[in-house]
Amino acid sequence: MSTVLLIDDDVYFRRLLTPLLEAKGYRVLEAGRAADAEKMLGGEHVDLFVLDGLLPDGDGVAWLEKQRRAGRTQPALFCSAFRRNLRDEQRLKSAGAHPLRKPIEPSAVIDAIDIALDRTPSKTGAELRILALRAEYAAVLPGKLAELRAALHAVRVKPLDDELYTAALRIAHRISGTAGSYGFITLGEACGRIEEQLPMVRTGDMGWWRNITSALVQAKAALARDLETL
Amino acid sequence: MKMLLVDDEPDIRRIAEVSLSMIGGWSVLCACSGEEAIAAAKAAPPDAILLDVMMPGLDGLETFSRLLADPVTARIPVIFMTAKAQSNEVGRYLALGARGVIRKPFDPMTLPRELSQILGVSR
Repeated sequence: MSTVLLIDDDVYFRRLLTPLLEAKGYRVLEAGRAADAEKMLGGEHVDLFVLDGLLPDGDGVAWLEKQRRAGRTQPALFCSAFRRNLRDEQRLKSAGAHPLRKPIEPSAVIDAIDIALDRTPSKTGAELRILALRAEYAAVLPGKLAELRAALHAVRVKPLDDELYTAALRIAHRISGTAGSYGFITLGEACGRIEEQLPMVRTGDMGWWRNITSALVQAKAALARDLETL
Repeated sequence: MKMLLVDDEPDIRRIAEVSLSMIGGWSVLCACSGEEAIAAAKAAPPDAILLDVMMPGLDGLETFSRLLADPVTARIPVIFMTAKAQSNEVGRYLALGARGVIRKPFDPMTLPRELSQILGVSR
């Protein structure tokens, strides 16, 4: 049986997570303070740390760094509600911690624990996470398409401007490479056609604009359909 | 299994990281440029690198060539990620020594399986 040391001063978070972990066969040790967690490590075998960023008697990153210096190499999940600066990110990476952002579903924490301890992750959890990412991406896609449309318009006005051309090409490339991975396949393909055909307008043959405009219309229609079924 | 994921596009890093960690069960480190990838691979060599081809600054091919030139990183398997528009380049990447090529867009539910097949590892 694997033992998880849960270090968080938020008693509600611990009460939520502990029974779920125990139901999955984990043994859970709880600590609300960094010092208490350290005492537990003296007498208990621990396989993984789940720790909060801000503890009443210290900072979670510093606590973990101290354990690493003491030769404790257990996997660590770092749950924090605060946006960290680059230096803290680097410290977390150096300490080998896997960052998780609060608020977080208990199932996502449990999935991360399962993965870190090489147990079979919950497929449902992964699928739900991907669906949530898809919804987040869907919310920003209309803005990305509007950005592409504006960039294409700028190229149409000044077809020989290298900077405008590169900017439009980059936006089309980004959407075509990304949208399909979030399930917006038709939209991604339409942007791929724009990316392929945009170099042609530089030849001076403005007939290519018809194809580009048509691909943009298809992309917008595909987005509308996808958003309806999301 | 540690995977270094290199892409300048944050949306791709986000979905691929979830796929590789939650479905693949891999430990994932992300880099957003070729320069960052080389530094990360030298500091802590991963088991494999998933590398985007088209990136501003140091692109995927130049990054790969620098990884090959360094004894610390030369033996790390590299799998390129490439958009459909560059599919004619696949043969060239393999000839250069890439372990495989993943086409964008990818299906996040099956990406870890495709990578495992390319790398010849079981999950």
